[in-house]
Amino acid sequence: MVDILFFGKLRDIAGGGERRIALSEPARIETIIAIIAETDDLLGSMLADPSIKCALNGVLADRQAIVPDNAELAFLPPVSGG
Amino acid sequence: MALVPDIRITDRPFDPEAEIATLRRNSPQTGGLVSFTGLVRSESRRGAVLALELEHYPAMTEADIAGYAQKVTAHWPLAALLAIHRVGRMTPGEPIVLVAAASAHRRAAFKAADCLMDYLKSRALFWKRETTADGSAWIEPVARDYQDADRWSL
Repeated sequence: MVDILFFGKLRDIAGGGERRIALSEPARIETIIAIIAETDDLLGSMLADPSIKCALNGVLADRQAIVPDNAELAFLPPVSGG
Repeated sequence: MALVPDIRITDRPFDPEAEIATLRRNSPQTGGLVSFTGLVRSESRRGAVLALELEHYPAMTEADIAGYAQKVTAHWPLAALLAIHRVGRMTPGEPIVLVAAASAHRRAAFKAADCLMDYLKSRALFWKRETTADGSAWIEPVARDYQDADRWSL
């Protein structure tokens, strides 16, 4: 199982901040985005945008990174604080 | 001895003046103290602001800011460095953020506070949603915010 977290505008599009998906084997982040896009066009295309950063178990990761089982994968849209 | 920055994320209202007073009392050898308090605006480009919501990623946001704040303390000679950032729902006039830097001399304190504030504005992991009479919208940094943050290379 992989826990997927969505923040900011992605949370709204995803209809919630968290999703859990089952992987039959470890997969790249870009593959997980493709899996999400199969059932959710809009969310899939937003996740594919390079402005969205990815974090794997609390560390920024690129889209070729392999997601192991039981990982936490977070999608981070452009940030804004202050 | 390395200075450990005081970095806090809170979902509760905080009192910037009380925090600054505490910092001042705890830094008796300091020559100067610079602080910036960010407040929820009452007006935005979208009209009168009813509320502002800030969210963060607990597993990353505070640790990430603390990591950057350590670079700030390594770059300028500081006696203290503090950042408090609100998350959750806020209304106009409420403090969102406080940054304070104390140093023997003013220049380091000004620059350190300015630098850390630029980081919080456009690099730290916060997401901000503004509610007006027209509904809610996620706010993203403007080009100027990125230019401000790009002034610093620590």
